[in-house]
Amino acid sequence: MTATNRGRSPTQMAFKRLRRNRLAMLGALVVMMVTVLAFFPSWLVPSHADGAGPYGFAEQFRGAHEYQQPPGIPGHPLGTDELGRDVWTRIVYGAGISLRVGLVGTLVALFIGLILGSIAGFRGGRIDTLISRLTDTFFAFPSLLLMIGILAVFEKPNEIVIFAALGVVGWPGVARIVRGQVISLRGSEFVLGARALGQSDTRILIGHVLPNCLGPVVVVSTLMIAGNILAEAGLSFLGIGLPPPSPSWGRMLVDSKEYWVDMPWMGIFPGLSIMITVLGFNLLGDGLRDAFDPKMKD
Amino acid sequence: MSKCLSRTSVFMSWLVILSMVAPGCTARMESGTDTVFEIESISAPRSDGIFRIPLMTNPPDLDPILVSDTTSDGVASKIFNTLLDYDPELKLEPCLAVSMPEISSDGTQYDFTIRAGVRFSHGRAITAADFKYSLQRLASVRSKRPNLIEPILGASEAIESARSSQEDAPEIAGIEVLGDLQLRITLKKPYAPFIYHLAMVNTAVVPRELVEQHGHAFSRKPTGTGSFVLEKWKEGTSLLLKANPDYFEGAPKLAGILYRVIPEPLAQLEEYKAGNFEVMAVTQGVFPKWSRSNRADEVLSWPSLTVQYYGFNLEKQGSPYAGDSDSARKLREAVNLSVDRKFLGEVLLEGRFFAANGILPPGILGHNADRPAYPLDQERARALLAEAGYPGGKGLPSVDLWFNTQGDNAKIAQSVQEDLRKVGIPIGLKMLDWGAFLESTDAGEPSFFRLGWVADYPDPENFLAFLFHSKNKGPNGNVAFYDNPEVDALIDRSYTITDMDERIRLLQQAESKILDDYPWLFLLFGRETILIKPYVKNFTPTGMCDDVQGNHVRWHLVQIDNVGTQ
Repeated sequence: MTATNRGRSPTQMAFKRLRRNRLAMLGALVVMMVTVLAFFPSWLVPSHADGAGPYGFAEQFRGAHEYQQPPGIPGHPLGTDELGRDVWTRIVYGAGISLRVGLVGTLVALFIGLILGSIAGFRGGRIDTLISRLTDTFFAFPSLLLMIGILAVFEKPNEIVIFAALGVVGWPGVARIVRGQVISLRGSEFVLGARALGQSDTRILIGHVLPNCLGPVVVVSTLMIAGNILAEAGLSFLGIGLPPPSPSWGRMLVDSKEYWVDMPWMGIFPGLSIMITVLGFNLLGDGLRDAFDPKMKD
Repeated sequence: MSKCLSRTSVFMSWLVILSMVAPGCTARMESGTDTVFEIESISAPRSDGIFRIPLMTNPPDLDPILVSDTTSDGVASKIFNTLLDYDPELKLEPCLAVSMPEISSDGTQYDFTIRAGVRFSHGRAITAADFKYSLQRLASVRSKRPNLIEPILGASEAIESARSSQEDAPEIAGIEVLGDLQLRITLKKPYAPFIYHLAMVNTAVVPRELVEQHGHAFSRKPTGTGSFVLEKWKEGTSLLLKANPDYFEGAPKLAGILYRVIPEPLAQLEEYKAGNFEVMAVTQGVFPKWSRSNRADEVLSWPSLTVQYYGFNLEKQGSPYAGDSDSARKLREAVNLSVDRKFLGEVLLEGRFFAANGILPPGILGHNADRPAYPLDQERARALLAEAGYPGGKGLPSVDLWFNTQGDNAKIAQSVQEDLRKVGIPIGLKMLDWGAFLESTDAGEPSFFRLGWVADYPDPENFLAFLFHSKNKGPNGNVAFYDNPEVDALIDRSYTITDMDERIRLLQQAESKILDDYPWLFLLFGRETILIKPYVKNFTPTGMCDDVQGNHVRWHLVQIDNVGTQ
C-alpha cells in the first residue's frame, strides 16, 4: 500500500510537501474561493431583475429606502452603499477585477521577464550586461510612481492599460530570477548533452533550461499576483485606477472614506476582501517556496 | 523564516478582522426621522471676544487686485471696503459712497460722492483720488481681475500699455476725480452689470503710499478701511485680525477674528465640538446627524448662488444630443425627466444641494420661484425617447459623461448613469483631473460633461450671458456651444437698459427660451450649511456668502453673547 519504494520526481515530492503544509492549503482554499467568485458571479448574488449587473444597484433601491443600510437587512447581507448599491454584489464582481488584474498583470510581467531573463542568462556577455543594467534601471524606479506615470498618459484607464502597467513594473523581478537560474543551469550536464546532440540554442533554452527554472518562477508569480491585487487597489484608492462605476475593491475603499464613521461596512468588507485574498495568495506562495526548496526534507 | 511570518500575519489578520467588525455592529444609521442623536459639544462663550474660524488653506493673497479665491476674498473683505455693498436681500447699497451713483440717461456715466471722514486704518482720510488709483491698479500686469474695469472708457488701452510699461496703475481716462470726494466713471458703452463690480473686493480702496512703500509685500501687510485690521499672519498656520475701533460704521462688537488653517474636516469638527471654533463648514455626514440631534439649533443653512449642470455639447459631431433637430431636443428633454434630483440633493448630498428648476438659483434677481423643479417622470421620458426615434433606447449610441475627480462628482455621475439606464439611455463615465477636464471642455471635446457656475454678482446676466451668449462659446463659459440669435438679442438689449425691472424681465424671457431648448441636464442648486455656536449673534449670511468665510456679512455687528458668563 505504501508508495515508498516507487520513485518520485522532485515536483511530485514538492507537491507532497505542499499538501502537508496546512497554511498553504488554507491559502489555496482562499484562492479557489476567490476564483469561484470571479468566474461565476451570477451564482452568488441576489437576482438582478432590474438588470443591476456589475454595478450592484439594488432593485428599486430608492423606493424601498434601501440606500445606506447596514449589513443584514433582507437581500443585502453586507448592507448597501451611499448610492444604494448592494455591497455583496459589488464585492463579488470586484473579485473578477482583482483576479484578472492579478493574473494578467503577472502574465505580462512573466512574458517580458522570462524572455529577457533567459536571453541574458543564456547568452551572457554584452547582452547580459545590457539587459541586467536595464533591469537595474527599472528596479530603481519607485514602482507606484512608475505606474502612476504610465496610467497618467491614458485619459480613461481600462483594464488593459492596468495590465500593461503592472507588467512593466513587475518584469524586472522575474527577469533577475530567471537569469540566475539559467546561468546556473547553463553549464549542467543535460545542457551539454543536448548541445552534443546538435540542438539549437532556442531549442535547448525552451526544451531543457526553462522547464527547470519553473519552480522559483511559480513561487515568485504567486506572490506577484498578491502584489498586483494590492497595487490595483492602491491605484484605485488614489483615484487613477479603473474609473467608476467599476466595482474595484480599491475604489470601494476610497468611496467609503468619507462615510466610515456612519457606514463602516462600506469600507470593512472591501478591505477584508483585499486582505483575505492577498493573504491567501501569500500563504500559497510561501508554501510553494518551501515546497520547492530542495533543502527541505520530506 | 517564511513560515514564522505567515503565522504572525494570520494572527494579525484575525486581530484586524475583529477590531473592524466590532464597531460595525454598533454604528448603525437609523432611517427613521425620529431618531435623536446626543452630541457632546461645548458651547460656552469665551470672554476675550475673539471669533475663531477654521480655514482649509492659507489665503494665497490679500491684496485686492490679486484676490481670486474664496478664502482670500473672505479675509480681505473684512480688511477692505468697496464703494458699494450688498444688503441682506442682496440688493446693492452704498458703502464708502454716500449714496447710489447718479447714472446718466445714456447709461455710461456714473457719478459717486465719497463718504467724508472715512479713514484708512493707519489714519489718513480717503479721497476720490484713492479710488482712481485703486481702480487703475486693476489694469496692471500683476492684477488677476483686469476684466472688472474693462468696460471703463480707456481701460483696454491702459491694460495694453501696462503690459509693456509694467506700470502699477496706468492712467485710465474714464476715471475722473472731480473734487476731493467726487468721482466720475465713464464707460465705453452702456453695460448695466458694471455696477456690481464696484461691490467686489477687487475694487476696494487702498492707500497709495503704503502700496508703493511695501510693493509686492502689500499682499502680506494689507491696509484698508475695513472693520478689522490684520494683526498677525503666521503663513499656513493662522491669521489674527484685530477690531478697527475707528471703523466708519461703528466699532466692531468683536475684539478680533482668529483664523486657523486646518485642512482636515474631521479635525475641524473635533475642535468645533471642543469649543475652539465659533463656526465650521458642514462636511459629509455632519448635517444628517446634527440636524436630528440635541444641537440642531447650531445648524445654519442658506441657498448659495450656484447651479450644477451636465451640459450637452450642441455642436459635437456624431453626438445624438447635438444640434437643434426635433429628435435631439426630445432626447435632451428625456434625459432631464429621467434623473432623480430629490435623491441626489436630499439623500446623497445630504441637503447641500436641491433640485433645480432652471438656470437661475434663488437669490439671483429674476429667479422664478413659481416654476416647479424638474420632476422625475420615467414614463414621459420613455415616450420622448420613442418619439426621438429610439424606442426603449434601441439604437441610441452611448456617450461618455466627462467629469472631474473632485468632491461628490463621481457619486452624482454614477447615480445619474443608473437613472438614465433605467429609462434606456446608455452613458459611460470618464473621469479627469480638473486641469485636463477644463482644457477639454473649453475645446469642446466631450459631448456630455459636468460643470457648475457660482455667481460673481447676484444678477441673471452673470449666468445667461457667460453661459449661453453665442459670443462666449468655448473658454469664455458657453461650453454647451449654445447659439440662439433670439437669446443673444435679448441679452444684448438688456445691457443698454438701466431700469432694473425692465432688464430683469428681458433676461427672464431669455432664460425661458433657453430652457425650452434643453441645452443642459439641469441638475441642482446649491446650499451652504455651517455649524455655528448658539451664542453668536447677528451672523446674517446671504447667497453671496461662502460658508464660514462670511463674505458680505456685516462683521462689525457680529457679536459673541457673553450674557451667560457675566
